[in-house]
Amino acid sequence: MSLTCRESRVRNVYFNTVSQASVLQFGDDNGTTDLFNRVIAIQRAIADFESNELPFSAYSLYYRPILLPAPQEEVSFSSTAWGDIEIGDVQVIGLSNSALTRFGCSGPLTAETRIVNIRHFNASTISPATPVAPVPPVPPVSA
Amino acid sequence: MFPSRQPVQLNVTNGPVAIGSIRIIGVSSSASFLIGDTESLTLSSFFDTPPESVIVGPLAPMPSLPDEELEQGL
Repeated sequence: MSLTCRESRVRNVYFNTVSQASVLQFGDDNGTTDLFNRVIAIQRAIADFESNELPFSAYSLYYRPILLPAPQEEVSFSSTAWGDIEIGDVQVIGLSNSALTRFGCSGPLTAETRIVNIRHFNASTISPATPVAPVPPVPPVSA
Repeated sequence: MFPSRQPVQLNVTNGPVAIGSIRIIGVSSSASFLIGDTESLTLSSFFDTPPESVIVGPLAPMPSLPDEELEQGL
């Protein structure tokens, strides 16, 4: 695979936050970029936690394989580039959870994020008088 | 099945791009914002909050695993 790079020019860049295994890169990259992030988010009515309470191995989401479409046949890829990329202003509030922003040319990028979200309530913290709205039915998908 | 064919050749021509300004609120969960060129992108995101992840009950810690599973290093 041969990739021909263009030149990227940006006049003004503003980023507020880059967090949780995210990358902000200016410039080119010859090798591969691999981003990996695992999160267990547990919300409790009362913040009472113990150490090593939530191992990743307890949840199948963290070792479930990634299903990728298999290439049917070999494709000979080549690219030619003419001209440049010119951007005026770029304003981004946040990057998080294995996100990538790059100004430049790069090789293959692989990113993986796995998040388990748990809400843990005490029965006494939920008021029985609170009405619970029913979930509306999903409309059928038209062909 | 087709008889033996010539291998597929994909030739991409990238021309000039000019953009005034870009404003983004957030890039999250294995997303990519790229100004430039790349060979390939493989982005995966798993998010799990099923109904059984809502636990209504006594606020006891999550059940622990047997020791041998903890030692697997996951």
